[in-house]
Amino acid sequence: MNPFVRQVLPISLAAATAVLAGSWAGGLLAQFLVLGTVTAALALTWGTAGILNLGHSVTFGVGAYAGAWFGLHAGAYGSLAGLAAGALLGGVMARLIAAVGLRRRLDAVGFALATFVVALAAEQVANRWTPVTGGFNGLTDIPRFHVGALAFTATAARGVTAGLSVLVILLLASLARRPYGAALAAIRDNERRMAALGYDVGAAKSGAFTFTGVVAGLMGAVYVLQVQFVSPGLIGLAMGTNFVVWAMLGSRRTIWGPVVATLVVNAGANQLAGAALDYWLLVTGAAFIAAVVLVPDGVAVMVRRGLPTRWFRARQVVLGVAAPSTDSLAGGGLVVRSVGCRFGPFTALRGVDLDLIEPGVHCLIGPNGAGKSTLLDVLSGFTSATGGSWQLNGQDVTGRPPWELTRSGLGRKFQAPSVAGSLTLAENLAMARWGRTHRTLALIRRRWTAELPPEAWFVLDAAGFADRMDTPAASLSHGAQQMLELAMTLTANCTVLLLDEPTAGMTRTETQQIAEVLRGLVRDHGLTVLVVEHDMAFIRSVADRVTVLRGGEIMASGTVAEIESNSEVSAVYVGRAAGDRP
Amino acid sequence: MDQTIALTLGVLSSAAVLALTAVGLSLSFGLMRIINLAHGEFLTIGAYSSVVTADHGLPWGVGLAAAAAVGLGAGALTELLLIRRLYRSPELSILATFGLSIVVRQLIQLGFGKDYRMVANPLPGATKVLGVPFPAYQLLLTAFAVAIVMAVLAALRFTSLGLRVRAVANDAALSETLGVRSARVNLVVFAASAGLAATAGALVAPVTNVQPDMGLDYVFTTFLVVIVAGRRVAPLLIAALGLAAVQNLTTFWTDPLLARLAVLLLAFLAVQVRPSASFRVAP
Repeated sequence: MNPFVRQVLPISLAAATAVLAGSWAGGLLAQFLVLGTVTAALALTWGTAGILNLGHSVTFGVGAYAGAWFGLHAGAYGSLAGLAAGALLGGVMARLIAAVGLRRRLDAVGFALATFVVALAAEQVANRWTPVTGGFNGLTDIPRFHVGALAFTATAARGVTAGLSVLVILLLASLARRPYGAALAAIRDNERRMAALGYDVGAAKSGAFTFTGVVAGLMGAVYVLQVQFVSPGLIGLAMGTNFVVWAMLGSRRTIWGPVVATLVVNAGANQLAGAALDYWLLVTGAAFIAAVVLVPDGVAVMVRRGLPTRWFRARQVVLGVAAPSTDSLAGGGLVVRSVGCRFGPFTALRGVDLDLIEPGVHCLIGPNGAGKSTLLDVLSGFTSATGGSWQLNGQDVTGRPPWELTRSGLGRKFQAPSVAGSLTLAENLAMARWGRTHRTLALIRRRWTAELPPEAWFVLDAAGFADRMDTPAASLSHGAQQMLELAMTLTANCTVLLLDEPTAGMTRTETQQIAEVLRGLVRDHGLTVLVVEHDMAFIRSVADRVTVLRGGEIMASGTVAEIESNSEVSAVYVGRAAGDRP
Repeated sequence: MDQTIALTLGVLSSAAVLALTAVGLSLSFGLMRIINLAHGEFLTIGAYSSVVTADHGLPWGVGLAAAAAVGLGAGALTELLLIRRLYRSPELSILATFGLSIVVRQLIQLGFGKDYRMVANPLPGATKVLGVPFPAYQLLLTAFAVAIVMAVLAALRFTSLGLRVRAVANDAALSETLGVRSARVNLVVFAASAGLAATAGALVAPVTNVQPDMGLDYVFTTFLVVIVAGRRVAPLLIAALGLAAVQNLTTFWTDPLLARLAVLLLAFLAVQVRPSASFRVAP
């Protein structure tokens, strides 16, 4: 089907149904579709980006009150002003909440609690700030949508409302499908990995949160123009609960599931009235508990699991081969000067100097607890140094956040394999390719094609991934995930590469492949590599230089032969002559 | 001067009740990574328990004991039937207890109606503190709450159960290998946490309006305390005192609504300056 038709058809279908269904049923349909839109926006923040927001009603309600207030007080252009103010205030509100809670301040659980508290407070404000909100009774008789002398009839209003809602839902679904949505999902899966690939994780999360706040605020104003009434119930915790329940029941990782759930649940609730409504809330609560325990992924996902997989085509990601990089970032390498790091009373690193100027493989060895991983964490921005400085390619990068370091040419592979588990291999690699160069708009616009550098292809071929590109990364074995992560790190086009135990959990063959890859990177691409390793055989096969770290200080540095003949090192490190090690 | 003393006593009284509800919440969070959004409803259950005993003409002390017992029982039941299935995911626990809080509120509303209920004040009149008259029951309430919080902290510090609780909180899997039955410790702590909340409910019942939504009023500040302090004890007490002070004083000088917002603002400032270790994003 023509993509244009595919968008226009559902919109006009919804509008026509709302118009033809008569004023009662059509009005309810329009009203519930607006709520469905707001739930879909929640699905994008919560399901896709992994930010649980119990106070989604706050942005929705702020928009609703803005729409009501301007509708009543701003005269001929009140509706337009209300819509604009709703979107704006919803965005500002979400931005404020995000500024306080997200951006590396509170984790997911702490943030969810904070949104809970904000929703409680918002309802009290709405209840008591009577001059503006009308207090407990709310605001009534809000005029329908009008511009100047032109005013919508009830019929036209519900048609437009329904059509507009479906348009917004299509927009949200499209965002979730695009590389932008996949990047949010990857951040949800593995925040550290995405930061190390060059994504500003905090900004991405608060950006998504703010955007859904704008959508909820706008739809709040639309809702009020439709129902012509607003009350504190729209902004409070009960409404926030509703959005969460609907999103959860309908499968929060989809966009249409929550919309359908919203329609179905509301249609059901609407059949009841008065005393039955108390029982309805009771049943909703109980059903919700049951859903959390029995179908935590929601009904849509459950249904989909029951259907043949061939009905759902995997996303086609076209991976090409990039021309060998002639990136001229190179030059300077990594120069570390007297870096220190303390955790409370414990000193993990003290006065560490390192020069990784020439291309080559530099191994970092030392007993457990020597500070090797801490050093890599400090240099790649995941742990704050308490002293010292370091330069990357001639630029002082001391204390920069991980994503900025990556964008300046630093690559980092973690010790435990870390990939975005719910994304396919191909999607993971595409994410890795875009991290260093793409900002939000580029991620929204771009297609699913990515060109990987030859060195990444070398790793992928060695691991035999060619026919598994469309499987989720979480289904790979430990060693295979290591290979994938290495390929992702190489895809990011770095000049200095930090590897934390790249051969951990790998077979001998895989270890030899890694050694070959590292030699190739140095020979063909002039990369500077710092490897933390324990495996002496591996070190002998790759290392140009070896540095020994002990108790947070550099103990010795030299060629493999020099280190192996250093009696002090072998005494401390292995307790006997290192060459004897099996 | 007189006013200062009265205000100080009021703040202490609020802080004590706040600490009583927050300590249980923070314990169950520290131990199981369970966020119990139904914590306020346990407080409501406690308050209604004392309403029921008072309706039967039983004395206040019996109401308090009944509230504690009902809270313990309800907490234990919740842990066994629900919380136990959710250890793997704090997010699911938030959702499930969210649902539970709705169910409990609706059940109470169906059983007792929406109207305010009162519990007779067991200690009417005022006592003089430093020459300033202060409601006698408020003093008793404060003393009770402080005593219970102190007892809980002492139990954590000095008893073998407390040792096991701290061990499980630090590393549940490791404690299991050392022979601690972490499931049982979780059960005890969750039940105790609910029992503490219910006790707080019975304590405040004579000085407040008992109604199905009352838990939400208390849970607001309680969650702020836990967000600010995480599961550490000293910051928890400081946060309870600080937030209670801001709430009471702003209420005194302006109105309850601004007090709410002031408390919210203070809590968020505290998070900006010093995010609690439990909720901070790992560096």
